[in-house]
Amino acid sequence: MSLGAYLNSIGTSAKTIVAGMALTFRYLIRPSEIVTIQYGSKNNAPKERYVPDRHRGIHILETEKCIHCHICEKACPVDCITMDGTRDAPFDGAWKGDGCFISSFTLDLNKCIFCNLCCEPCPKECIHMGMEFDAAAYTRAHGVKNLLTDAPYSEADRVREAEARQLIEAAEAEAKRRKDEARKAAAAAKAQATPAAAPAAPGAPAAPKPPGLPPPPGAVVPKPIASPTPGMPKPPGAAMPPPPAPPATAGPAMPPPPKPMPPMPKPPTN
Amino acid sequence: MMTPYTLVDWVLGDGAGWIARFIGAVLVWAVPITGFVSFVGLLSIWLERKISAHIQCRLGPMEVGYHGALQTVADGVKLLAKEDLVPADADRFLFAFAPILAFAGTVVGFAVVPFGPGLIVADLDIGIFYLAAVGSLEAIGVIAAGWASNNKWSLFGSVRAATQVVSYEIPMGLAFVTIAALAGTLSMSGIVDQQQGWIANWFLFRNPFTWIAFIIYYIAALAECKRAPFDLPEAESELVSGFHTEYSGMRFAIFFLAEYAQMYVVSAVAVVLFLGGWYSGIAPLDAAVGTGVAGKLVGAGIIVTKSFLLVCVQMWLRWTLPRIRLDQMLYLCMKILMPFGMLTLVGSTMWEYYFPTPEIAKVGGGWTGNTVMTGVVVAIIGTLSLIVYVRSVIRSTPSLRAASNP
Repeated sequence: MSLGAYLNSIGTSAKTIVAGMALTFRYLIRPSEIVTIQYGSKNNAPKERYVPDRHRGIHILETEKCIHCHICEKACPVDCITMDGTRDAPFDGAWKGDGCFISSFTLDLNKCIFCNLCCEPCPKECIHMGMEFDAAAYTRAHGVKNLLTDAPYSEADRVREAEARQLIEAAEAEAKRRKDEARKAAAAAKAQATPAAAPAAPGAPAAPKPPGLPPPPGAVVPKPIASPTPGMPKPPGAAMPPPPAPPATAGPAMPPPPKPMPPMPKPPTN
Repeated sequence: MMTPYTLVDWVLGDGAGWIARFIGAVLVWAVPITGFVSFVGLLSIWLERKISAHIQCRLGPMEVGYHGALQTVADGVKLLAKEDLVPADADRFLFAFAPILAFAGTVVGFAVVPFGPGLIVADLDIGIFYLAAVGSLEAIGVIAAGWASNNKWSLFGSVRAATQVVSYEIPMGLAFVTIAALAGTLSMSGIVDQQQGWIANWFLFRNPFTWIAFIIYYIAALAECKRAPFDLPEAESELVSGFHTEYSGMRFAIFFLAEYAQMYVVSAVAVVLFLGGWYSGIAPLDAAVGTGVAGKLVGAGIIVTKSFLLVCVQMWLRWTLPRIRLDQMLYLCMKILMPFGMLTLVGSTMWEYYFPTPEIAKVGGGWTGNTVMTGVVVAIIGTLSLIVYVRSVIRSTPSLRAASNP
């Protein structure tokens, strides 16, 4: 090695060391470069910082849009979704959906594989994969989530749902009874009016009936005719009573406060 | 020195017998020094974690205490509670003795490290020589640890340590001799006393060659502490953990403490030899340092602060530079540092002969011709550093890079 190469190598070393130390020094004195997120600490960052926009986390349900159609339950490949409710009549302690009254909507996170198959077929797009990923629980029972309250499924939830089941059956029976009564009343009224106004019968109340068909002479009402009866309000939004008070036994079963909209996943740009 | 210069003399007076002096030395020095070594270990390990974390865009320990300041205490408790493991077929006595030897070899270095004016355990007339002698004692402990562990990685590590010792000792000695020739004394406090006054009186600025001596000393000191880029005896990526692979629990903690204490010792020696010791570099302030208890405390604060700054530079270097190979280490020490050390020794003494430092610069301060020469050298080196820094900024910033090369 010649003297020039020797000195040159020393100069190169010194220069590169100084350049490298300048680089590390700039990172050392610049706290804004820190990328660590202190998960689980006091100065926690919002969950949106942890996960990408299209993350498939724990589900979020927009209850007010749900029509209780059970499609997500059927779509679930591991059967982790269960729900209960009725479309017929309101009952005490029900969550109000879109034309339906829901008493339970639970998601078993022990089973869930976060496949998104429940969200895709939803006709109202009311169930979403959320940003939350922290599903740790002390027992398996705590791993079941109540999507209505956005909290772990509790014993109070179970009690309330059992009561709600009875309320639903009662409400459905009541609705059926009122429907039958109304139908009977309508049939009776029709039977009364038949001799007088036979041609008028195909007017308003019996639209689906074929007009040319003569009504049976007796008081027997044809069962399968689903005529809109005045006693059963079809559009429930208009004739709905105010949200019912929760039953006294179920403490935590409050009607949920309006949940904030979950951050919607951005559509893919490409 | 006729005046009582050490604290034991100051406490006991001149007339005390040797038994009283021995007990006094234990109480006044051995206990506080051990405490100080522990404090240095705790603080340095925390600093190391934080500095490494920030360089790597991390946060480091944040949970225990303020920004993790008590994390090391928690780790110490954990290490104390660990099982005392000795590998099968190990040399049990040597295995237990090696950490003690390494730690003792470091702690005896504190005997001549001043903590302030008069705050020195033993102000030996041969202070630097003593340091050079005991500085390598830690290597004996390291070699013993590697041999006693009955592990090939440990043995590789200790062989590397031995190789390293014989290569860094000579340049370090040459740097010592350079300063000793300028100061005319080997005593630590004697060397510091000659750096009183303005900052130009520090031996670092005494002549252009002492810059080289400082760099040589610092590189050799890094090697002595087995710090990156000279952490060959540990070399996590090649030898599992080198000489302390088989050590766990408190014995490992003692090795760890010895390493960090050694970092402080070499930094304090660099401060004493080159950076003015307990003097601040501002002449009016220096006049007050060392008089009375307050003056001693101010001096102690200055020298400890400077030493910790150099410790931080060691950490900064460690997290910047990759580890070099053993042959590169030998090449660096034998073929680069040693010739430059000799050049420094000759050049520095010649400079002192032809441009002798005026007496006024030695005691009082003031700008002399020699200081002007030093200033020119400082300006050149500073400008070069600035150019390198600006270029690295330009290269690492995309917008600036695009603007500079259209």
